[in-house]
Amino acid sequence: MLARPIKNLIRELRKLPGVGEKTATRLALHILTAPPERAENLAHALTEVKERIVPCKECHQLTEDSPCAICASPRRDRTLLCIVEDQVSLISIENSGNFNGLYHVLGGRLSPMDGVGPSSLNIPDIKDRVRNLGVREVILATNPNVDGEATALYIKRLLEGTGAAVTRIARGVPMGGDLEYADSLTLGRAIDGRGTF
Amino acid sequence: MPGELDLAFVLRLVPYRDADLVVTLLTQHHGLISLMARGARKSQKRFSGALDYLTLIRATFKKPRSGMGTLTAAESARSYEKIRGDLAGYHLAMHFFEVTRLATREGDDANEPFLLLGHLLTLLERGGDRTSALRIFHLKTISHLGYAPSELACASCGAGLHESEAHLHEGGLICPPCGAGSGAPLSKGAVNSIVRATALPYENFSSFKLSMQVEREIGPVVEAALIRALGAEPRSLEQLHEMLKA
Repeated sequence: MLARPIKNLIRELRKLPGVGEKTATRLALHILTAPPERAENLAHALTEVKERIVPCKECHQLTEDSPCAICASPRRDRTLLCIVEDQVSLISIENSGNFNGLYHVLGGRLSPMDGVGPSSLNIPDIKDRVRNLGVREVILATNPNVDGEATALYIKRLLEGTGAAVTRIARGVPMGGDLEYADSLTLGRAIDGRGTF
Repeated sequence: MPGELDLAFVLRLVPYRDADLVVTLLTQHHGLISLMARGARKSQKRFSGALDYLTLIRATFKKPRSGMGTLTAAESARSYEKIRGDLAGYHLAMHFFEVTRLATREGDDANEPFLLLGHLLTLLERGGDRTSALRIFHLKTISHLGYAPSELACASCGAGLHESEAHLHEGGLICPPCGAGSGAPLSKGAVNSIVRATALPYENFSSFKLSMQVEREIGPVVEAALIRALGAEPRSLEQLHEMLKA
């Protein structure tokens, strides 16, 4: 029923994560009915991102220039290194405005069931980075779930003997939360990880 | 409709769309089920931080006659905190979850695998021997799939295998004459360990210890039998070997 180019577009859109048949069809029809320059801009943006974006040779975040703006900035504290799973976590921490050190993006986390081990991630060069930069503190900011904890544990072991202090982001009750509604696991960890007030 | 309530282990979590999760559970009374947990990655309210591996959960879910059901709430009944803090234990537990998922189908009676997982996680949480736990798990899983030796008798000719060497083949133990041409047979000690581990009652898990020599002998054979029985090699196996070596 649909013309071949439309079918092709739907097929390609369906390959995107979280996009099913209906969403792909809706997006394809939207692109078709939108002004021509919008489709051209989208096509240009897709091509440009693939041509110009590379992983930073230092921290592995996706960037136009390598080293990235964070790694190249003289205003960042080079003795603080924050290890995150992915670009999204890096953006979230940057948006908090509370961190002025450097990052190291792992490109995922340990996931034995998916065959993802340390060698599949940007883990092997962490130790050299810590030594070369003279890092005094490494902050492990992997997600607080079982796989993220295992990844943090692996890196902590890897960094033994480097002289850098290894810390873990705090876990516990969120701001604006109510203890009455906190689950026992989160509350237990909040108590375990309490800080001096 | 209030939904069903059951104890469950989380075997697989797959992110779906922005905030949802597709959750595969091994429940005590409803077997293996895959459910959609809407908003699980954003809101901790209905799932209270419990929706993760290495947690025994009380799951509330709605299961339609066809299609995927919905996980409406989950709370932690038990968390295996010591395994979470032990890299080798973590890899072992992830291997248990993956193999259990590969060995179980929706609609199967999964009470045995459920109890096996519970007892093995408790054993690891108490610092039990990891290699012995791994082989108990492999042999009981092979047995559950109908491929393991249940007694000391040749699966081919029926000859007794007491105090005898044997081969481990698809379908069970094979006496040396029946298994001629398939390499060196397993020693008497290895054969006894295989049969003991396969039939071991849950309450005796902590008393079962494989010697290094027997492990070296049976490890590769048991894993090959497991892969044959599953029809695929578990992806977690390679990482597990690395971690158990370290």
